[in-house]
Amino acid sequence: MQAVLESWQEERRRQFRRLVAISAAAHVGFAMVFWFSPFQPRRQVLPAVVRVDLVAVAPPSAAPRPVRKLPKPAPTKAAPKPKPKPKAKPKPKPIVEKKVLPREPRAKPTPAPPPPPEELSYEDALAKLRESDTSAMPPTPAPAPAMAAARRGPTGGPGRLISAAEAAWRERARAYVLQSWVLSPGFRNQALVTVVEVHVSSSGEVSNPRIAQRSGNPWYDESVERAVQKAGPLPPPPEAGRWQFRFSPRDLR
Amino acid sequence: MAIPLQPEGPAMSSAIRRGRVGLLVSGSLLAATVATGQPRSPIDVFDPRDRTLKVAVQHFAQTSGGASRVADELHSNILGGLNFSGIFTVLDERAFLGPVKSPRLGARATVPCSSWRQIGADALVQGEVQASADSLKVRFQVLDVSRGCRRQKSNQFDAKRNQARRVGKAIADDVVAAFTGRPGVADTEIAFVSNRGGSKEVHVMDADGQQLRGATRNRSINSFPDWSPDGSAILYTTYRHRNRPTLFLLTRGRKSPGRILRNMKAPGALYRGVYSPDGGRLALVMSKAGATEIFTIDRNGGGLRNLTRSRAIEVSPAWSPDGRRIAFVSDRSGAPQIYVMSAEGGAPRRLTYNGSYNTSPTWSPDGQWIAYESRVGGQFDIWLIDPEGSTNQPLVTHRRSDEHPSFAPDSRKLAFSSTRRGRADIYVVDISGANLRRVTDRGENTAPDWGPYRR
Repeated sequence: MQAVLESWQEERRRQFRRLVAISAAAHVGFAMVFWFSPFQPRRQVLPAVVRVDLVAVAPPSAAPRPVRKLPKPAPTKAAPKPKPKPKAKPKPKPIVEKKVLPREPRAKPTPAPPPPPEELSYEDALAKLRESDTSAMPPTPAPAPAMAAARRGPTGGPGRLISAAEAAWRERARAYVLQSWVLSPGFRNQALVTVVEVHVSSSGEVSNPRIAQRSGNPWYDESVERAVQKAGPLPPPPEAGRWQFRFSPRDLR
Repeated sequence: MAIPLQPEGPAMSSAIRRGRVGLLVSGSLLAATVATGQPRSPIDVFDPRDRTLKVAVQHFAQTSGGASRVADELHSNILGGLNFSGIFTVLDERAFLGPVKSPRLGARATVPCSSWRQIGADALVQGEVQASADSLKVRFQVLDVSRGCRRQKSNQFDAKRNQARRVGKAIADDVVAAFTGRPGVADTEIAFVSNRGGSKEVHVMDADGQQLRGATRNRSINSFPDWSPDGSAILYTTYRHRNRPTLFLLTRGRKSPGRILRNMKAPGALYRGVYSPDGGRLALVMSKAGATEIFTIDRNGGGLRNLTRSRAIEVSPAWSPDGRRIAFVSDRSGAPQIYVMSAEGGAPRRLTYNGSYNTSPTWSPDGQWIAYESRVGGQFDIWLIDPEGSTNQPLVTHRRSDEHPSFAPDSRKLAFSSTRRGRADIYVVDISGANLRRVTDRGENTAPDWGPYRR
């Protein structure tokens, strides 16, 4: 009975050893498989993938465009587009500048195709939106044509750089002049633009106003001249000299 | 875009004209420094808030004895007219640093401008009164304080002694013209319908509510007063004639009103007439085969023309100031809306799409706006829309009804009737929505029509 028991136990031990051996062999085997398998390159590829992504964003130069167009929310069709961009944007730009640019040509062929359809669909969406907008509100001829013309006319300043100090002064001077400008309600809806040039001394004293551009309405021009005269003294300007103020009933910028 | 700096020449001459040679020197030096660099871009100033010009009015000098009462009446009406304008706010004379009394205009007295500038005055009104037993001679001038006290305008009025009130208002209107190019409307009139005497009669008052007088007195129903363009007559509809609506004309200086278009072959009842801007034609609302239509007819009764040929109801014609177009109300879309058509007829263009009930259009004399009443909830508000329909905005809103707008001749004010006090009263308001004031006090007062400038 005992012999039987012992032989059985021996048998179990042998089985156990065999299983352990198989298991060890399997572990070694898997280890070898993983060691030499193609999964390994993944680590090295990662940065490459990053570069590819960045390249994909740069070439179609699609990134800056949407920024310009997006001020109006583009709801419906633009939905698929945002996906690639959020990924791309957070990647640090500085790297892009150095590394990506030279590789641009190589990467171009692949990422180039997607943008055109995207762009088209976006434009289409916008166009449709506009269409649907206008169809919803039938009688909407262009707003006062004269107003539109004025809007097109004088735009922002030239290429001259404005320092932070000057920008701050301009804003304060604007507030001073606006404060003293009294406009009769009848003029409010008209496209009137008058530019007054005035000498501002280093202490802010205002003198010698001259109308550099007339609106065509003498009373409007006078109201503007009055505003500049009454606004003085202004805060001391960054530079004494002749400054121009452009008056319009509404913001035409 | 930068506006290039102006060459020194003109600036120099203007500086010399103003005697500011010292400034000229520094100005030219600094302009030179600027000229070396790029020109500065202009500073944009826009969206001024609703503000009024501040005006100081001196008591006019009396050049004859016994004119003090007249001078006082004149003074208070100048102040009243200027405050009414919505353009000016009158400065309290207790704040004056300069004299309260005006110098004589003939004297070449220099005006100490700084004392007026210091109290914030934009304008200074001075003048002199000469009164005899029955006549009045008033001269005035208004100075632009902000621009170096230069004389902006002067004028002279010869009137009857009892017309000091009107002269005062006329001076106020002149001062407004000097600063805005368009006279004020203190010296104008409003016709309206009131039941204060028991029946609905046409009344006339000054635009500020003073000098109320009854115009009709027939104890019937009178409605839709409409001034002739020259202000010499009021056209209105009355039911005094066999209880059927008839057009009558009340002419200034005549005792009794007269029926007009007596011999016209009307297709149906004649409800209302509206003068064209040149006074040569009338737009009529007449019923024809059960529907009311818009017609035009020569003032002398010839050339009757039906402009609207539809089964819908068409009412409330309003001429454009050039007389070429007529705005009116039609329910052809199922609900009353405002349409515009040629005064010769032709296909109308629908103007209003907001809300389900828009009526009572009236064209501003400068052509910029059509005011109308729009039903919002259970009551009416006054809205403004431009004749092309691109801008459409509420002007007067209240939980009670505001109805029947009528533009002042300067296009800066509107009269309308409102039930905001419970019963209907006439109110006037600036088209900015500011300066609202009630100008009637008793009875139900409706259907105001603001008269033209008086001559």
